[in-house]
Formats: sequence, structure tokens, C-alpha cells
Amino acid sequence: MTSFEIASSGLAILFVLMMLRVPVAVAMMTVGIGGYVIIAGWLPLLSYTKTSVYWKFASYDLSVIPMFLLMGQFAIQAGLSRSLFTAANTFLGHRKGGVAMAAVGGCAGFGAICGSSLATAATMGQVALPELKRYNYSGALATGALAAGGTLGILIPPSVVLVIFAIVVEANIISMFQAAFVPGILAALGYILTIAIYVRIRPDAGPVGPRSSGKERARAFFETWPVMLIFIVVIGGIYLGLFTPTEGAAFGAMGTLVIAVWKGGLRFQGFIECVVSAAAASAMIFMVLLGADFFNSFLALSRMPAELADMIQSSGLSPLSILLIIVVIYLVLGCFMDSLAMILLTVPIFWPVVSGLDFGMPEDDLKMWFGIISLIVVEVGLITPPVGLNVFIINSLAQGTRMKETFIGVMPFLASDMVRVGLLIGFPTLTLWLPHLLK
Amino acid sequence: MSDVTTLVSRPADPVGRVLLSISYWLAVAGGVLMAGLATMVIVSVLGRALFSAPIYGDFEMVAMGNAVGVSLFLPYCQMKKANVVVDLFLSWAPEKVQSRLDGVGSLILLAISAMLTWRLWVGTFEMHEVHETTMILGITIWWAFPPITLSFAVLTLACLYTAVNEFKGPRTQGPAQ
Repeated sequence: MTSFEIASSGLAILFVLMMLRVPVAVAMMTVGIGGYVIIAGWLPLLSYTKTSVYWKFASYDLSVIPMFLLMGQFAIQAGLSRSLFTAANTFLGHRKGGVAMAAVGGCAGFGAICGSSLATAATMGQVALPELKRYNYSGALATGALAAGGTLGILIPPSVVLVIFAIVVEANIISMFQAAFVPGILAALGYILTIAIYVRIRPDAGPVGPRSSGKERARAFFETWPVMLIFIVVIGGIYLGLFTPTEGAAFGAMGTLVIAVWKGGLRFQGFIECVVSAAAASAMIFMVLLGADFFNSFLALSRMPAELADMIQSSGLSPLSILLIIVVIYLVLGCFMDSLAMILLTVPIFWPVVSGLDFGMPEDDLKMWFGIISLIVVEVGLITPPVGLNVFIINSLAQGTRMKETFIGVMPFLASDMVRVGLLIGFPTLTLWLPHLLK
Repeated sequence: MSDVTTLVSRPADPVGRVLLSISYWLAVAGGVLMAGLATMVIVSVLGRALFSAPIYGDFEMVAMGNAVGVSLFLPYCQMKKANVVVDLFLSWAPEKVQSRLDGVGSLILLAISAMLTWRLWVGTFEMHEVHETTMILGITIWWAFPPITLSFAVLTLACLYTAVNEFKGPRTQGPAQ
């Protein structure tokens, strides 16, 4: 067998293992170790593993992940989701579908201090679902808007998956965060527009809420100051290059902790619970990172990604059609795989292919552009059947709404996602504008 | 990347309870370490901004601390069965079959983490011998190895425990709390 064949069979075995419920990280380790031994033998593996765990984990760049996860946990306990939703609702609630729009706005605000989609969906869901029900919103619109809104958590910086992408392709994490900003805002606006169209077609799905006075608006807006402060300090500081991402995350984690103690009534027991939840979520991510380390060492040894890139470049397909094929592969994989595992598994294979194609932009721009497009299509998997995790979470919070309704409710937002991916592919400047401006 | 604290109820048997509390407190220790690192980073940034006196080489401590902290998280994740699993293709299968397959997954991880524990053990002595240090602060790197090796040893035990449980049958854990 050639190395290429070994690598391709390894990939096939990996998928079989995953289908047999072997955890993604463990499947990657198994195939990675097996392939490494077949190509290089036992001795290099035994010598590599003496220190590989340490060198993989002892990374300043990766330390941003546990810190962002701590920040997210404290933010959940700080009661910030309620003030965000209330503020958005005073501005939007009196419109048709306005309460659902406010839920999306709240998600965008919470996504600005939390890097996880599931946490964003769950936290905003708890606050916004009872309100949506009170105003007689249809279950499909209410749960669909929240499940989709949750995906803003990972698109709007901080974002754990984006950090990982940047590390895999050796891009600058700061410019990746800058690149995600405009697409994140576009996503929120796209969802709000989707709701506006939805209630035009089905007016009874999203009745109007009460109109708020200017004074109420000002007060509700002022109540969100902790979120503004944290976002401006953390993300602003990172954008302007005052901080490294780790430093920003450290400020974010400790800042949200102070607010959770002060405003959210967090005490010692709650602190320990936050720490342990962040620990479990970090462990999950670092297990996948460790698995990907073995798997990618094996892939690199087999030279399969490089050969595949050569094959595709000489195939005569246009760069754009190759990009579209990758997008379709992501959409299919996203139906059953976790977004982080997908990035770690596919980017080492796809990036050499993409970086060898001529999209008419320098490599650093290509990293940002491809990264943001990948992030969005990978996240679409969170709201597609059959295993859209956001859909499950929101549906479990909404009593009396059937799963089918939620999946139907999500469809218009999926359409909005597809339009946005099209826009971002067609107009790279949407992604690249801010990083170029701040350079 | 979800909140996973409530996926599996508390085990009823003493072995499970002991393993769970060991891994729980390891995770707490790792989390407190990460929070401590965050505090140090803040002090360093403030020192840099206000007094032009950052903590010298703080990033080396962060990197090393991250390696230790994250390793301490791993056993708890296994005890809570919080690893990412593709749950789609066999959701129709009887729970018994799913549980056995999960047991196979735990057994594979058992083998891998046992190997890593062994290699890290060997690596600890080697790092001790060559006395490698970090570039700026000159911290001896082997100091990070014992807690990492310990974490992988506990992870190995956790895999053994979960594997045995999963082969015994679906969800044999006792009532919650």
C-alpha cells in the first residue's frame, strides 16, 4: 500500500469508528496512532509520546480556550442575558415579530461575551421563551429564532472554534476575530430581516408587543453596561492590539466573575460549579485537540494532504467550484458532526488545497476569508436536522412545542444563512474590510 | 461544547463515587489554577500599562500552567462521559447495544491513556535528567510532568470504570444524587 492509500483507508476507518459511537477524539487517536505505527513503526511513536502531550497543551495561544470558557460560565451566572433581552425588547418589541427580533438581538449581545453557541442558545432561551409565549408567538417562530440566534454565539467574537482554526492554519488570531465582526453583524441583521419577512407572510405568528417610551429605552439600554464594558475592554482591546487574546480572555473571565458575584449573586458553591463546567467543556475540546494531533501527525507523515492538493489543482476545476464543493461537504458533515471536530479533521486536508488555488488574494486574506466561510457553514450544522444541537436545546426548554415545529421554524433562518454565505463568497471585502482597516 | 454537568447521575457504587470525587477535585484544582493564571495575567497587563513593569515571562507560566490545568480536567470529562460522540447512526439501536459500543470506545481510550501514562512516566524521568528549562524564566520543565502523568493515570482508571459499567448494561448508575 502507498502512504496515500494508507491515509485514505485511515480516513474511512475513522468514519466507521465514529459511526459506531466511538468518541470523536478517541477515533482520531486510534487511527492516528495506528497509521503512524504502520508508516513509521513503534519506536518513533513511543519516543514522540514521551513529551507530545506536554508540548501540545503547553501553549500560550491555547490557554485562551479555558479562559474564554470560564468567562462564558460566569456570564451565564451574571444574569446579563435578561438585561440584554429587555433592552432589545424596548427598542424592537412594538414591531410585528419584534419580541423574536429582540431575542436575536439578545443572542448577538450575549455572543459578544460568550464564545459558545449552545451556551448562548440555552441562556437566551431561558429568558426569552417565556416572554415569547406571553405575547402568543407561534412555537415555530419562537424556537426557530432562538436556535438560529444561538449560532451568533460562536460567530461574534470571542469564538473558541475560530481560535482553533487560526492555530491550525497558523493565522493571526487577532485578525481572525476582526474578520468575524462584520459577518457576525450581518448574521444578526439577516435573522431580524428573516423574522420581518416571516411575520409579513404569517402575521399571527408574531404579534406586536407593547411600545416603550424613550425613557424606558434609555434605562434598559443603560442596564446592559456590564456587557458593553466587558465587550469594549476585551474585544476592543484585542482588536486594537492592546492585548493578546489570552490577556483579553483573562480580563473577560475575571470581569464577568466580579459581575456575577455582584449582580448575579454568585457565591462559593456557584463559583466551583462554574469552574467545573468550564473544566468539562475544556477537557472535551483538548481531548479532540489531542486526537487531532495524532491524526494530523499521521496525515502529514503520509503526505496525503499535499498529494490531494496536487491532484485537485491539476484537475482543471475552477477555484470557485472547488470552494463550493468544500462548502457542500461541510454542510453534509455538519448534519452529524460537532463543529470543532469538523474543523480539526478537515482543515488540515482542505487548507493545503485551498491555499494552492488562485482566488486573487494574498494568503493571509485567504485564511480569514476561508476561515469565516468555514466557520459559518460548520455552524449551520447546529440547526440542521437530524442532530441540530441548538434545536434540541431550545426545544427542550419550550414546553408544548414539538420538535418538528422547531425544525420547520428554523428553515427560514437556514435560508438566511445560505444567502449570507453566498454574499461572503461573492464579496470577500465584507470579511476583509475590518482587518485591513485596523492593520 | 455544552454544559455537561448533568449528563450522568451520581454513581451508586463506592468505586465510582471515589473515582468521581477524585476527578471532580482534580478538575476544581485545574480550574482554580486557570483562574489564578488569569489573575496573574491581569496583574502583568496592569503592571505593563501603568508602571511599565509587566510580570517578566508571564506567558511561559501561562503555557506551562495551561498544560497542567487542562490535563487535570480530563478524568472528570471521562467520568461524566462528556466526550463528543456522533449520535446519529445508531440512535435506533437498542440501549444495550449502544452501551456495549460505548464500552468499546472506553476500552480503546483505556489502552491509549495507559500507553500515554507509561510514556509520560518515562518522559518525566528523562526531562528530569536533561533538566530542560524555559527560555526566559528558566523554569525546569519537568515540574509540570508529575501532575500531567497523574491525570492520565486517573484517566486510565476512569476509562476502566466506565468500560466495566457500560459492558454491564445500559445506565446502571443509581438514582440521581
